[in-house]
Order: sequence, then structure tokens, then C-alpha cells
Amino acid sequence: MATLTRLVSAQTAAAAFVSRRAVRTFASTLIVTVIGLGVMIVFLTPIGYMLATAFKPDSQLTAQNAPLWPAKAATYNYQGKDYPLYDVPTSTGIKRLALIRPFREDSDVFDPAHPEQGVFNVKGRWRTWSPVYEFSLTLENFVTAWDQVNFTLLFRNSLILAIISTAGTLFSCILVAYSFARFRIPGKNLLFIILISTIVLPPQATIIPLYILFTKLGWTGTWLPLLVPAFFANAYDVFLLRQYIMGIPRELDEAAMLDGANPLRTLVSVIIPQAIPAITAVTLFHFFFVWNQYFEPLVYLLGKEELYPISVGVGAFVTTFNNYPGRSAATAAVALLLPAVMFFLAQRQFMQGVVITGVDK
Amino acid sequence: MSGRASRERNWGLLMLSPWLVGFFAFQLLPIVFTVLLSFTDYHGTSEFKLGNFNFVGFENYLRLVTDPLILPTMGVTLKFALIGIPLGLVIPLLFALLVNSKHLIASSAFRTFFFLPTVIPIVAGTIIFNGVLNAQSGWINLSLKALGISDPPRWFSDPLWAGFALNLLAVWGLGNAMIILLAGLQGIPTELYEAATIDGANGVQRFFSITIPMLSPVIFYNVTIGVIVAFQYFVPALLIGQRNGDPQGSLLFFPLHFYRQAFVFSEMGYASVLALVIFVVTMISTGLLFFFGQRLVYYAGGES
Amino acid sequence: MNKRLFVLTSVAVALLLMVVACGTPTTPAPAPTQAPAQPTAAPAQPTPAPAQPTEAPKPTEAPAGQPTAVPTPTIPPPVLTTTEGCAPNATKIVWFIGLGAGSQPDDVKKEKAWADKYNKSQTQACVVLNVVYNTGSNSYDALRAQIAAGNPPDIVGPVGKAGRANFLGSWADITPLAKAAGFDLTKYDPNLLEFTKDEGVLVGIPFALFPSFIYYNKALFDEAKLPYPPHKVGEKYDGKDWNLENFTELAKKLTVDAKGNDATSKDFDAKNIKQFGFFEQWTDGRGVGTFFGGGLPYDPKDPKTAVIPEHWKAAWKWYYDAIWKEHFIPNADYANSDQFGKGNVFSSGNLAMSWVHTWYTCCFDLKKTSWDIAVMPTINSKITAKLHGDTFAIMRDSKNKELAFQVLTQMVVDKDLYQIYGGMPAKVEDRAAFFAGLDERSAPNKVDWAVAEEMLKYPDLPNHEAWLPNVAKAKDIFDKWQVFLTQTPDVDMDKAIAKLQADLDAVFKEAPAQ
Repeated sequence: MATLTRLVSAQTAAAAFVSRRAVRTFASTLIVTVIGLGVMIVFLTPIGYMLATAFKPDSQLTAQNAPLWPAKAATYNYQGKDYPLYDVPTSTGIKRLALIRPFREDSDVFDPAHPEQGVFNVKGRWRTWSPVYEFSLTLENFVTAWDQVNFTLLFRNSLILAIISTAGTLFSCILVAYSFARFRIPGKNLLFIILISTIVLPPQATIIPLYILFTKLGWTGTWLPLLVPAFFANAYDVFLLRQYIMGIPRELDEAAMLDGANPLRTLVSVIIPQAIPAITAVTLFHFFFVWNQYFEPLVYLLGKEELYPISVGVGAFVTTFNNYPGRSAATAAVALLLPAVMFFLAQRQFMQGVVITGVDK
Repeated sequence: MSGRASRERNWGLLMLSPWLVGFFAFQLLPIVFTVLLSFTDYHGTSEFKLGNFNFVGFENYLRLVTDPLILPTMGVTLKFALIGIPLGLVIPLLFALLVNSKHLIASSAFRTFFFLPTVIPIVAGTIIFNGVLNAQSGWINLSLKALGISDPPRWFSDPLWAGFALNLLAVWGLGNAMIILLAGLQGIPTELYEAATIDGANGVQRFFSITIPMLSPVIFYNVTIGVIVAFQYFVPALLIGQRNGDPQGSLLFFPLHFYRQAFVFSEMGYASVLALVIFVVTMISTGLLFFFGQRLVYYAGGES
Repeated sequence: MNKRLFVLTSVAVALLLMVVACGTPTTPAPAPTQAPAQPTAAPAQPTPAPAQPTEAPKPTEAPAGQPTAVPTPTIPPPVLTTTEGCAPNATKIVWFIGLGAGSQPDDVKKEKAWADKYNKSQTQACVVLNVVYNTGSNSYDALRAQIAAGNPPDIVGPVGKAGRANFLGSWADITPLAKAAGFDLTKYDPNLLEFTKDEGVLVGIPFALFPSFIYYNKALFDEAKLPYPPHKVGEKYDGKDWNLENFTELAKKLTVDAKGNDATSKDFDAKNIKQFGFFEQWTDGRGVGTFFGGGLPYDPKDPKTAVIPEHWKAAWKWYYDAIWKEHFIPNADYANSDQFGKGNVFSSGNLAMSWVHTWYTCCFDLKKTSWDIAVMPTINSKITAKLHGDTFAIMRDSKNKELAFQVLTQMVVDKDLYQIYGGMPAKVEDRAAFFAGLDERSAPNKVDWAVAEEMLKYPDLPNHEAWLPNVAKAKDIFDKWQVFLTQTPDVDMDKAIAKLQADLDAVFKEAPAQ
């Protein structure tokens, strides 16, 4: 009996332990996710604003007392014309009336519930009445944006540019970073400082000499000025990869070297697999850098619209924000869609990185 | 020199060669050009060729002393850097820890959404931000008013707030830094945490004794790049303040001062001096970082 | 092996670089186009198929991975969309658009159509467009890079005095070009020619005139049960003189808060304004001053001394009070808000009266807005309607100036181009057709264009964009001044104006000797 009791209590204790652990895990998941959501909502406010603008008719932005979310003003068709509906406080409660002609202190209205009354005048300020809105997504801005912008061509150009440039960058930067991280070269520190110094001048100071150079080479009006330099490494990515490679324990590549692998083999078989997260980061980093590059392609490709990348191609549409806010926001949103999806797919690499290195925090 | 050492050097130089070639082909030219220009009176309204400019010695450099805008514009840039660099270090780190947490549901979505602003071109991003921070209709101020703050900041119209608003814009676009730190977190071997847990270290202890040291190489990277970028920062200010640094010069960053000399007033010679000032100041800061900061960095692969 | 490998590879890399530098397509990066290396070379390609996205290779064919394995055919053949109709040996004339009007997407379509039409009409010149929508000041920077590289466009425009000031000295003198071409400049009004000169150099043929007047929103007047403003000089408004006092009063009545109080009411809530009475859209400090009359900010006898005209000071104070004390002009926050069209205030439909030029027909819904135009009020017993006069200019370093001038002579008389830019033709006989075109775009509104013709008789003299010593910097100060007035509450105007004058004086004194 006593044994039985002990057994049962042990079982309950075990069950309680398991569930307590589950509860704790659940609680931390809940807390972390809720905090994450809170931060994200604040963080994405500007994008929410952009999307809301894109899905609104422009008239809703400037309308008085209109809601912030995309909506449609409810209207009533009176004698072939649409008039906005308002909830109007009257002596007999709130009535939904169509505002036919607004005046400051009184207005001509029409009561759809009592059409027999015809148009009549009510006292009161229409600005204090609340307009009736229904949630509604306007797609018109997207249709206009799609019609006006040759997205297919622009996306294709940007993709080609970004892929080639990123390939060149990865190829050159990995080599250079490996060299800076692992090899004893006389004057290496000085060389590294020189490398850093190449990104210290503001880009606006470098554009004129580079434009002159590329004009003399006959490269303006082509993609060469945007692509060729990518194959010769850049300080941002070399520096990052160097930092990461220096964080990889040396025993790993020394073991490979002892097995008779030459440095290139070591790089491919040891360093690169270890550095996958950093390489992924550089890939994304550089890909979106090229994707968003604006001034350089603009200057080098001036007049060659068939070669424009998306950043330049939508530039004029995105920035006419004061004339066509909806269209402008819709253009920006469409331009954002592809990179967003690409990032979503690419960042899975970070999950894979976990598997490869066997790291699970 | 031993055979092994020279072999190592040759391999090293070989792998360095893409950059060495690129340096002489593309990267050296702008620096040399800027130095050259700084000694001329080239006016950016004619072709850059001999005959269209004169060498004027150190005249442009002497202007630095009498330019009343040097100190105020340096101040704007410094203020931005002093707020922006720490923010740019801490916030992406918190984000990276968050999206790396196994307790976060749908972390893929979180990664994507936190990175999303980085994908928005800077021009579009600045325009959107300007809309969100408008004192009358911006969503931020509407929210602040809804929370009972009757006089929220006038952001880009108020010299007190405009600089900080750009700091917020910069934080918004910190996806790259987050990704870099995330990559760093992925590279920390789990065994280290397991060993520490067995030794009885709690979460906070593990964070400071393992995560931070192991992340230090990429943190160092983020800080260094953060410094370089902060000293170059001005494009959003140009978009918001119509090239003038409005409101009241509070967005007149030092690089914007350079830009105005070059591209608004066509004074390429003096502009080049200002560009070189940026160059020198940034190089000194970076040099100091390397000199002092490097010691705080832990490289598992050892110094080479 | 290593040393040899190293040397070999270095040589290979060096060779590669040279190959790259020579632009041969056998480079690690693909040559995106087989475009002629010389940017000025005639585009003598056999006209290939236009770059329709459907005919172009699919992006899925885009290569990934090894850069050396990248094939070239993913990129379309070079197609200059605007050169389709060019004669085979025509010389390329580059038309740069972006320093003024004309880079809005809708405009660009029409400009391309014009270039196509022109290119088909003759065999000598082939007009190619370089369009930059000006964000920040990208278009200025791009033009500057082209100039520095000795690769400037031939024709730039439309461009006003303000845009040209940033490139002072880059413009060709039109007078000798006209003489060589036998083009008679004397048929133009001498005042107009004078207006098209920068520092004494004629930089364009007078093209279009952009008088200013009051655009008003009829619906908002109806709502307030107020009569429309006068369409003729001398007409009374509501039985009263159309002067500053009554204009101000009207603007206040047309300014309304969320509760429906107007700005004359003591219950008016300045923090919650939903409709404004007046706005001086898209102008700088000199433009604001010119509301009270034209003037020069320096002593005409000694241009290096800044002297701000008294009536400008008065205009600024009136403007400042209108924004911050009487609240009938929107401050920067209101003007840039969503409700007020992000700076394009009249287009929002929440502004009763806007003072702006004929080119503003570019930028609001001419059909849906219920609008008309009215004359300027009489201020200090005179009427001032500031005038813009954009033109097309030729770059001094253009390699084909004579031919560019030929193109220019066609541009400045073209009916289609007047329409694009909303500029009244400099030639009187072309105006009826111009207004008819605008009427078509504005229907069902019937706009009283006689107002525009009448306002042309009251230009600002001297012009608010007139020459200034050290023009780029002086103009910069006036730009900032206007923003300062709209952004800053609690300004001691006398002090601020004194500081402005001192700043201007310093800049004027810096000006190179004439």
C-alpha cells in the first residue's frame, strides 16, 4: 500500500514536472512572441502607412474625418450623381443623410429612408457630422502603377545586375577576406587600412572622377560601370568576411593543411562551409545594395531606359508623391514585393546554417 | 625568409590580387582626383581638363579657417553619430537575439519584416518617413495624440527634433546590421553554451561571457562601418531639407556642406578639401578604433 | 609550383583588366550592350525589335554562380526608343530634361512623341531624350557629371533662371548662333529678350510665358456662400475694393477648423484646421516678397550691398502673420500633411485660393476640381503678378551647337510643347490654340483665360528671379528664408530680416568682380 502510494505520488510529481516545464516553455514563447509583435508593429508603421496609402483612393487622404485605413466613402445616388452619406444628429436621433450641398451653418440634404421628402435644408455644421465609410481596398493605384511602369523589364534588369554583381562580389571578397584573415603578408595591416580608406570618401565625391573614367572608357550607357568593379572586391564585404573568418578556430584549417590540402582547397572545404552564415549575410547585403543603388545607375545609364534597373525605373513614379500619393505608394509597394519574397526565401539559409554547423542555441 | 613563409605570402598576395587590381583600377582614382582638385579652382561648369582650371596652392585649405559653417556642420554630424552609433549597435543586436530565439513563433516572418525597410530604396523610405512623421497627419503624431500627448514633436519642422528623426530613420534601416549579427550568432558553437550551463552559468552570465565575446568580431565590424557611414550620412537630409539643411540648418550635416559646395555652388576645389576633411576625420576615428577597439575583440582563429 | 602559379595568375588578372578596360565583350562581366563606345557616335543600328518585355529573354535564364560562365544573350539589343524614326546619318542631339518642368512621367510620354515626330520630319538631327526626375537634386548632379566628363547634352530645358543659375557659365550664347543661322531675334519683344539673358548673355529663344494669378476652388466659395473673386482688374469684390485688406478678410473667412469655425471667429482652433484660405504655392523668399511688388535685394548703384526693399519686408511680415497669427496660410506642417496634398495644397481641394503660375495646370485634377482663376489684388495701389519665362538652352560645350540651334528654333514654336509645359506662347497669335487645348483638359470647367492674358500686363519688375550677385548662394538664402517663415513660430521678424540682410550682404560681397 505504502509502495503504491509512493509510486502514485512519484508519477504525479513526474507529470507535474513535465507540465511545469511545458508551461514554462509556453510562457516564454508567449512572452517573447508578444514582445516581438509589439516591436514589429511599431517598426512597421511606416510600411503600414505606405500600404494604406497605396490601397486608398487619393481623395480619401485629403477628405475630412476620413479613417486612416483604406475605405470607401458610402454614397447615395441621387438623380444620377453620387453624394456622400453622413450620420447626422437630429432631434429624432441620428439619421443617415446624403449631403447634397454643404454650407457652413446649414446644408441641403436628402434622406434615402424618406425619398418623398426630397432635398431639404438642415441646420448644423456638416463638418461636425461623421461621414460613413466602409472598409474597402482600392486596387486602382496598383493597376495604374502596373500600366505605367514596365515592371517586367525593370525587374529583369535589376535581377541580372544584382545576380552578376553579387556573384562577382562573393568570388572576389571571399578570396580577399581569406587572405586578410589567415595569411602572413608583409604590410598587411597597412594594406587593410588602405582597403578601408577606399570607402571613406563620400560617394558623392567619387562620382565625378568615376563618371569621367567610365566616359573615357566608353562604358557610360552600358552596365559595365555597375558590374565590372564588383569583381574586384569592396571593403564593406571583405571586412565583414575577414571578421567572421578570423572568428573560426584555426585548428580546423590547420588540420586540412596537414592533410596536404593547398590553401584554395582549405578555403573551399573548410572555411566556406564554416562561414556560410556570413556569406549569406554578404550575399543579401550586396544583392540589396545593388537592388537599391539609385544614383550610380541613373548617371551611368542616362537616356538608356531599356537598361534601367527597378530603382531608377520607378524613381520618377515613387517621388511624385505630392501629386499622386496612392500611385506612388503602390509603385513602391510593387517594387518591394519581389525583394521581400526573395529575402524571405534566402533567410532560411540561416536556419540551414544552424544544421550545418550543428549549433543550436 | 623561409620557404614556408614565402609560400604563404605568395598565396596571400594571389588571393589579394582581385582587390589590388581593383584598387589601382577604380578605387585609387577618386582619392587622387579629390586631392588633385583640392589644389585647383575648378568650377564644375565646364569639362574637367587642363585649361579649364588653375592650380591655386593651398588657397582652398585656407578657406577652412574662415568658413563659419565648419563647426556647426561638424556639430550636426557628431550629434547624429553620437546618438546613431550606439543605437545602431544595440537595437540590431536586440533584434538579432529576438529573431534567433527558439521561443519566437514564426521567426522567419519576423526576420523578413525587420529586414524589409532595408529593402526599400532610400528615396522612397525617406518620403514615407516624412509622411509618417508629419506633425499634423503623420501616424506617429496621431498615435501620440491618441495617447494623450497634446503637443507631440514637430519632427522635421523643428530644429530640436529633426536630427533625432533622422536617427530613427537610420534605425529603421538597420536590417543589414541585424543580419550580420544573426550570422555571428549562428557561428557560436553550442558546446560553449552547454559547457557553461553545466558550470551553472545563468542566461545573463552566458550572454556576457559567451555571446558577446564570440560576437565581438562582427560587433567590431558594425561599429567601424557605423562610424564610416555616420560621417558620410546626409542623403535623407538632402531630401527632407531641400538641399538647405532645413529646419534652420539642423540637418546641415558636414557631408551636406561638402555636397552643397560641389553640386550647388560649383566650387569643386573647396568641396574637395571638405571631402578630404571627412576622409581624414573618418580615417583617424577608424584608426583609433582599430588601435584600441581591436584589443577588445576576441578572435577564435587568433590574430594573424 | 606556387610562385609560378602566382605570377601566371597575376598576369592573367592584369590581362583581364586590360581587356575589360578596352571594352571587349570577353570580360568576366558580360557586355550589356554592343552600343557604340563613343557616346556621340550616330546610333546607326539597324532598328531592332523594340524592347518589349514579352519578346525579351526570361529572367529565369539569368545566370547564377560562376561569373566567368555568364553568357551575354540575356540582355536585349540596344534600342533607343526615341531614335526609331531617325534618318540613318542623323547627328544625335541630346535633350536633357530635369531642371524644371517636363520630367513627370505623363510629360515624358508627350516629349518622346514630340521627338519622334521631329526626328521623322527631317534627316539632319536625331533628338534623344535624357530625362531625370529631380529627387533631391539628382538631375543637377547628373548634368554636372556629364559636363565634367566633357559629355554634356546639347539642349537643356525647359529651364528657368533658377535652374540655370546653378550652371552659370555652362550655357552657350545664342546671339552668334542665331546670326549664323539667319534667325531674326528682333521679332521678339526686347523686354522678353532681356528676360532670357543671364549676366548679359542671351541663353535661349523666348519660348513660353508663365504669368501668375489666383487659382480658386469654386466649391469652397459656394460652401461659404461667398461670391467668386474678380476676373478683371478694377472690378469690386462683394462691393468692396479688391485690395489687401479685403483679400485678407476673405482668406480668413475661407479658413475653417474641424468644428466649422472660420479664422475670423474667436472659437477658431488653429491646431485643427481643415481648410485654408490662401497659399503661395512653390515659391521662394523673393516670390513671397513680390506679392507686394517687384524689387531687388541690393542697392542698384552698388550691387555688393544688400538692401531689402521695404515692401518686401512688409510682404514677409504679412505672410508670417498670415501663417502664425491669422492662420489663413498653412504652415509647413499643414502644407506637407496628407490632408493638404503633401505640399501640393490646391490639389487637395482644401485650399480656397492659390497664387501660382500657368504651369500649375500640370499638377492638379483639372476636370474634377471645380475651379477658375482670378486677378491679383491691388496692394499699395499696384498689381503684381510675378512672371516666369522658362526656355530651352544650349550647352556651351555641346559639340553640335549649330544643329542644336536648328532644333531649338523648332521647339520654341511648337504647339505641343506649349501644352506640355502649360506655358503661354510668347507669340500672341498662338495663344488661342493654347487656351483651347487647356479648355479641353479642364472640361467641364470653363476657365476664364482672359485673366491670364490680363495678368501678363502686370509682371513683377524687376523679376523675382532676376540676376543677383553670387546668384547660387544668394538664391539659396532666399530658399531657406521661405522655409524658415513657414516652419518657425515666434520669430522676431525685424531681427530675422536684419539677419537675412546681413547674410545676403556677406554673400554679395563675396561675388567675383564684374
